[in-house]
Amino acid sequence: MRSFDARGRQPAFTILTIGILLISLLAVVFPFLYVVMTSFAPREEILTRGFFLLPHRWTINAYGYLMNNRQFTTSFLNAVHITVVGTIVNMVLTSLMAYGLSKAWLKGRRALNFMVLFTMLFGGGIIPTYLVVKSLHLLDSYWSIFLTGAIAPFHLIVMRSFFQNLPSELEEAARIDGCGEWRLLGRIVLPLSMPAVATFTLFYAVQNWNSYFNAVLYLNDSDKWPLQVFLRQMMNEANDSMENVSGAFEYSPTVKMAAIVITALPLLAVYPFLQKYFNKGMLMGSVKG
Amino acid sequence: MSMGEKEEAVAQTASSPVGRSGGAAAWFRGIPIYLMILPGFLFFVIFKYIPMGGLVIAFQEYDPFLGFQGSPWVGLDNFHRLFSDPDFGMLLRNTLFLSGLNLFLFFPAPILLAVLLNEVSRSWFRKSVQTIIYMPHFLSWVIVVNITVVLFATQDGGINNLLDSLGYHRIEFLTDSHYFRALYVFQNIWKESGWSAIIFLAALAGVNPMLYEAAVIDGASRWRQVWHVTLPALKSTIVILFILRLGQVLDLGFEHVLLIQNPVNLNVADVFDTYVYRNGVLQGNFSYSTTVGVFKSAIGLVLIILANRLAKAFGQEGVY
Amino acid sequence: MKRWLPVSIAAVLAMGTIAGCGDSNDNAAHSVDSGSADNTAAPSAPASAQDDLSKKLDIDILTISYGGASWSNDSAIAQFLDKKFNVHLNFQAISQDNYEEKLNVLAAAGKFPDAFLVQKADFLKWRDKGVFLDLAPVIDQYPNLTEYLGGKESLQFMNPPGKIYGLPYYQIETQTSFGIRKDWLDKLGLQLPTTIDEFYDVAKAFATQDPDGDGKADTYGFSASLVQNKTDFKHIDPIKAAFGLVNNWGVKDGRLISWHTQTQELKDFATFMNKAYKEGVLDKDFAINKVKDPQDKYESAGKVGIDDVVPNNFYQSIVPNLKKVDPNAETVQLLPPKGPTGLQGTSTNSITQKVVINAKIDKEKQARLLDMFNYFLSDEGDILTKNGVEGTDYKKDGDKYVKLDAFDQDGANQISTLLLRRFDLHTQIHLWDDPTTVANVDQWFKNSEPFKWADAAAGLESPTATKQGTTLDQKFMATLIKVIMGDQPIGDIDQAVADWKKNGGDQITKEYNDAYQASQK
Repeated sequence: MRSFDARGRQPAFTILTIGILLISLLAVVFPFLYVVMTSFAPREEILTRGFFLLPHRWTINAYGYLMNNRQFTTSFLNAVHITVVGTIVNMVLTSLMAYGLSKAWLKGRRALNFMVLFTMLFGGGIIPTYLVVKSLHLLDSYWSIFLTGAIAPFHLIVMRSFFQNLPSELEEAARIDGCGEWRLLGRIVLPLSMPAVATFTLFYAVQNWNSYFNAVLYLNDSDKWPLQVFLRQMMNEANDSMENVSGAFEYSPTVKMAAIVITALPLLAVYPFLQKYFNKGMLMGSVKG
Repeated sequence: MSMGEKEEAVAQTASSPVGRSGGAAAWFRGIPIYLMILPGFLFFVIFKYIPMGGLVIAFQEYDPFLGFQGSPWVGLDNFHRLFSDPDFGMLLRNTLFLSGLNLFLFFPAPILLAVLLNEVSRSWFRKSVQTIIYMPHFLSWVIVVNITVVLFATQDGGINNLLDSLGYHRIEFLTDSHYFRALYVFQNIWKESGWSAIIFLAALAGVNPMLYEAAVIDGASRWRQVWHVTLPALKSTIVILFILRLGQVLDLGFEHVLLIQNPVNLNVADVFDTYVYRNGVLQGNFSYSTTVGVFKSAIGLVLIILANRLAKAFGQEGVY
Repeated sequence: MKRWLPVSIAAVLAMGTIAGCGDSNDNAAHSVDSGSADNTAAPSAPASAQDDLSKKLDIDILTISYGGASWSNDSAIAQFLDKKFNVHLNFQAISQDNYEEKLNVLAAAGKFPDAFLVQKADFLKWRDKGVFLDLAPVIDQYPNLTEYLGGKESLQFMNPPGKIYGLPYYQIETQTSFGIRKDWLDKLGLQLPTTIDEFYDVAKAFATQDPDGDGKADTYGFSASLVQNKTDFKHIDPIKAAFGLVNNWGVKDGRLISWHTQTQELKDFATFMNKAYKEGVLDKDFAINKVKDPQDKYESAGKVGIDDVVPNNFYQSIVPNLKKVDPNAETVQLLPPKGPTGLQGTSTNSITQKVVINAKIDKEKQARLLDMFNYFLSDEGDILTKNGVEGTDYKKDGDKYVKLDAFDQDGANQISTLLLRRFDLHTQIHLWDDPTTVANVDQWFKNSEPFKWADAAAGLESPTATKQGTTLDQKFMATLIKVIMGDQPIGDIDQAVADWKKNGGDQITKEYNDAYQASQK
């Protein structure tokens, strides 16, 4: 990590920067901590104390309860499956297409770009997409989720612009070396674009991890449903006239909060590992080398 | 300044490569590239463009039992109904107001954040801030709104209890429509800024450190370095995200708005997204809700096309 | 990467999508004509005698989830049913907010599940389209269906004469009633209120005279919320009834009237509520409360004096939780207060959801489903669907029963809570519940029984209400709530009533009345 002290000390500037960041940090930390802490507090504390940052009495029962809950573990593993395979599909298709569309000289590029953009605005809706999935016999298979969301136009467009910003000398140099497009992409462009690759892997992973509605729609086997379905059913904020009426089992607020924390945890934990790809000067080093 | 422009100039020339004009040769050279694009192309055709045929229901009185072919055609009736709805003006005003706030307050927030983080020299501090500040993205809107209620409710909210114990009047943050817009934007910023900053941080990772070194040698202050090195490096990303954002100018995140809507703030909180939900999901008018969606998208398309032209006029890459 | 594969698929698809869709529509149209004929021609077809259970069937069931566990085929009850009926039950329960969407998608794809729950509007809309199996010809072969689902009249409800397109999903009609803090009344030397004026005085005393004795003005009389769609109030039905408002729709001079048009009653009600709001008697957050908030506030904060209580919940959750907050807390039932003209009414549900069987699946599957449904309602099935499997979900300990962890984890009572159950006040009573609690719960229901406040339009259809009702009612509520909160003068109710009528209410009233007249014949 390169130090920026070399860029000159200016106390006013530094104080302002750190000050703003600290304020935003606090604004995030307190409410977030509240969520985390309620998962360690007994039920009556959550409901009597309003906002608090430390429980009077700590309990980890909620976590133990979830870990022993078969539905939770099944849907957790389903979510892992969907996230891993789905993200690979996403990244392969997206980076190939983004790389292709980053070629300024490509014939038909503008039309293709517009075609991508257009789908960000206009979509046929749930029913026709379902009919397509059905006629491809993808219902009840995770491929319905992988394929219907294979490329997010937004990510594609932004990734393309990252590729475009790579120095063109690279391509020229590679071409002179007789390097084909596939090798150029695999050996040079992608390694140099690790910040972008890391970013969009993360974005896609989160999107897959949160997949909910498609799962409910396309998967008719509840044993295949991912974590978010479990979580939504548990939170169940939306139910109304029937609430309390049916006598269905209800989770305690502590367990609900614990489920929220556990659901967020895997991807929160991934981030620090991806951070190293945001190091500065990577590009510089490679061009020199 | 000189450095930023130099790099841009390089980028410009980059896009005009060898053998641009040669017709057949260019197609031939493109073959491996077309192969790379093909799977994605098929994805768009199969899962985006074929279903797009479903948009015809905007011109029908669609009934799932009758299907796309069997449902009766009504021409432009649904559009007529939309534009003559007495609430149309209110919906448009509310939507544009919130969207404008998003563009001017929420859109710059992650950029500011990324720039500030970029200026922090201590790696541990930067990394911790980065990691923590992106966490709220993982809370669903339901939870974010719940936390807001715990803090801001009139009867028992944390902040009002504090005001009360200090001898002030309680403030109806959640049931007074005057606070609605501020609340909406603040929640957006709180939940998504850290997350959205990631794209900008990734863009900054590509900046050549020599640019900063050169600026220091030129005697540029930190402010000037931000202005002349950091921001130019983010420019193309900002432009692209801004154009895309314009395309969604009438989309506000239906789940979020619906959760903080209540009968008292409906006059400022009812927007096209919630209108679509009410008509489509609650009242089962598929055709009509599709019509509203088409209207929203058409506006977005026009804005994108205009903004894209403008960007190109200023020498930017644009989105297509 | 098999690039060529998707190409060919795409080509096929381009036609296939449309064609496949048209196809299913043809079927639908046919069965409208011939469906009933088929069924009457072979009334004995789906009979248990013909289904010897020899073939393993995959059965899809779709219903609405109300929180809790989802179905697992490893659960004891799933295995039990597999053994008994040779079925692989694919029981999907999805949240209410996505349920409609999924059903409509399935409708468009022409492929409904084998059995599913439908809500009133969809049932009435699809009833005559040949989607649901008509049970009338075979119902007599399933004695439990006729015996435990409220009898013929209840089966016939919402159906055209001579048809039974679905089985009613039971809800306790007088499910909730007011509970009041007895210890607070005693402390302040007050009596149980019997009129709405006394109710107000007591509620105000709770708010102003520091009933919990902590020296802080942090208590209030009662809370409320809106229903999920924000089209009506929740938890204050007895107050509405006291002022003469009808439960959605009521009968006056032989015609149906909506509560949205009862201008005078609305003004009386709003005046009462406005006073309560102003004087701190009513929860300041009633307009943003979620449906469950009032109960949470009552049981966990100990700051509210009166609550709308579900008796089962009351004994299982409210009493123990409230005791933790305030060991002296004691709650008693409060009967609906009498209004100025002596009117009383308690919160009353209508039984309008139906469990239907897909008319287009094999006869064998239909028969198997009916066999299963018949079993669920038998004495043995009733115990099974409410309590799960003995030994796994609960066990016998001496002469008592004890619930085991598996019961909650597997949601062993899902069939009973989400799909089908007897018309029985004990729907939520389990084997292991304490008999005195059960007796107490029964007593609450019995006490409420005389004050039923039924919706006169419960089973009737109005297409305009389905298509525009939510919008109309939300706007109406916006004015009413602003009046209660003092943001608008009481006179604005006149305008809200006029707008409601003009923008569709009159049409809805006409449609309901036509349907009502037809049903009275």
